[in-house]
Amino acid sequence: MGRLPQIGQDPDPAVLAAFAAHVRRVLGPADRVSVLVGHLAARRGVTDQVRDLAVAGNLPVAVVSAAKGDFPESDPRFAGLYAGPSSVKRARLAVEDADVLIMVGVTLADTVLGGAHRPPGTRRIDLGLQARIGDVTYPGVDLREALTALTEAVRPVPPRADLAGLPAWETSAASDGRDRKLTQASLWARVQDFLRPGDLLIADQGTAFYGAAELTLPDGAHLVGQPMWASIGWTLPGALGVSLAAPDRRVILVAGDGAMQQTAAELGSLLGQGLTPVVIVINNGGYTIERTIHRPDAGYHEIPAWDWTQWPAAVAPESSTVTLRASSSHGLALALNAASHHADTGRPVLIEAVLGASDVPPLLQDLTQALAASGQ
Amino acid sequence: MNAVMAQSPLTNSTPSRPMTTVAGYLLTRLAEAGLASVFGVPGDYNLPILDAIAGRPELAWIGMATEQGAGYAADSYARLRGIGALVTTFGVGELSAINAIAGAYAESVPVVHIVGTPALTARDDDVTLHHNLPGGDYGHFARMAAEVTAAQADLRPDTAPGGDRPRAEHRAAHLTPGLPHHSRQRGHRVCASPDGPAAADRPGP
Repeated sequence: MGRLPQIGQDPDPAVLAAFAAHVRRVLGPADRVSVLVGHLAARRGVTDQVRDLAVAGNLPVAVVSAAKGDFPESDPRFAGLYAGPSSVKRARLAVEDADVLIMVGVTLADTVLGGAHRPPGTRRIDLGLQARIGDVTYPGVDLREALTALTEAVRPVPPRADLAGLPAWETSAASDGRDRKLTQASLWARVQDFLRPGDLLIADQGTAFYGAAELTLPDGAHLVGQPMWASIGWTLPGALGVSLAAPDRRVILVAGDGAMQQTAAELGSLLGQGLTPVVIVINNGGYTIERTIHRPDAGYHEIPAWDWTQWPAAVAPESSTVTLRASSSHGLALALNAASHHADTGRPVLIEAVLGASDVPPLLQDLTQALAASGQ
Repeated sequence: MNAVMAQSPLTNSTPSRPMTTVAGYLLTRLAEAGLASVFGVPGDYNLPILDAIAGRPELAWIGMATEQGAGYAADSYARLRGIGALVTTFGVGELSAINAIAGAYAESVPVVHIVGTPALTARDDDVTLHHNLPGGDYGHFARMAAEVTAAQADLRPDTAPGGDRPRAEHRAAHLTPGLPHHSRQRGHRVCASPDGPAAADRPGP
């Protein structure tokens, strides 16, 4: 039966009291306390508690890509995306130069942090299925109780001088000429402009997820992805799941051609429900993420070429999906303008974005170099 | 609750409680936990479960092209709603979904995988039923699922209320929160309805 602890059981009061006392001892002398948020915070429904903790202590909060959108990015305490050595400077300083790092539901996965990197620091408070401070484990202390204890124990500290003025994100996209060929940089700059508060952006493993992870999310917007299990094709049926789960939110699906071919039949399931997602297919001739890891010119990275603009008509002829192809930055801007209009008037939109086979977002370049270096 | 009265009383059930099917019992608990859409692919072993879903206005059946797609959709649904579910058929269906179930397990997403299995009365050591491996063992696929699920339950009328009541209540209550589950169940046997909401600690969106 179950190997993971069941939730919903009250922890032993003595264990909880010992945890709270240990928290007070650790936080007492600490001036630089930071928070790193992982995927379990949203799973366990404690993202509001994380915000309360950040406010109570005036703490910088970084997120890993699996928790992108789970802390408001307009909050002045937001420190950006932490991705090991690939992080923005603000996030890296917040996480790695803290006296105490509070990790809330973080799994230190290679695809999240790059290689086998771990945030350093002996004083780490690690909250997950159980709580741990340094080498001491507190079984049964779930995220909810642990965050309550931390919020009661933390004292507000002045903002860190070393973080002052550092942005929580670094915009790498240069301004685009009207006829410039579409690149990963200009694609994500256009997607950034397209995002609205409350959007659900679901991005598949590959250039899609790591490009999306570097965006600045408007309030209430979330990135949905599967960075740890990383099974390509997850997001096409996933877009159906999130659309039904949150029918009032706009859903934007971004996936590469290799991922889409894995689960392509499910576009019929998605459009057959009468849903109106904006679907962006990154057509870059195959498994670009693998090209960055190993032998970029090897034939096995290639996949059969599809005519993506014909795909919705084949699997959902009654959906009246608007299909567009963009191979320049300006063309993508026009397509996204059209998508805004059609999505608001109840028509699904599919945009085929034509990109180079070896073009990758900066974060993916960094992470795959680390993976390649570690022998993966 | 959508309970139906039993055509004939079960000897070991409380006479005053309304009756339902095993599928009805499970669906009641899932709906209480916040489930409104069930993903899946039909197969002859799960059709009684699909009939039970069709009889419930609060649950939408979302037919998918593939079991893997159903698992992925249930996973992403559960990330926002706190629970997701899919229905597959014995062997061929459930194994097509096992990558999706493993992904939900790896990323701590609460997905309930409901598998329709051959009727108890049809199981015969001398006849190999379709979708099974030869040999009359009906446990191969549940054992495969055990590696990628937090818990498994073989739901039968005798483990539902009216039979071994405390054990069934325990299992039904555990279907609501937190972690992926694998459930094997049959739809048309009769058991007593739940007599109160299951204790749930459901994560928020």
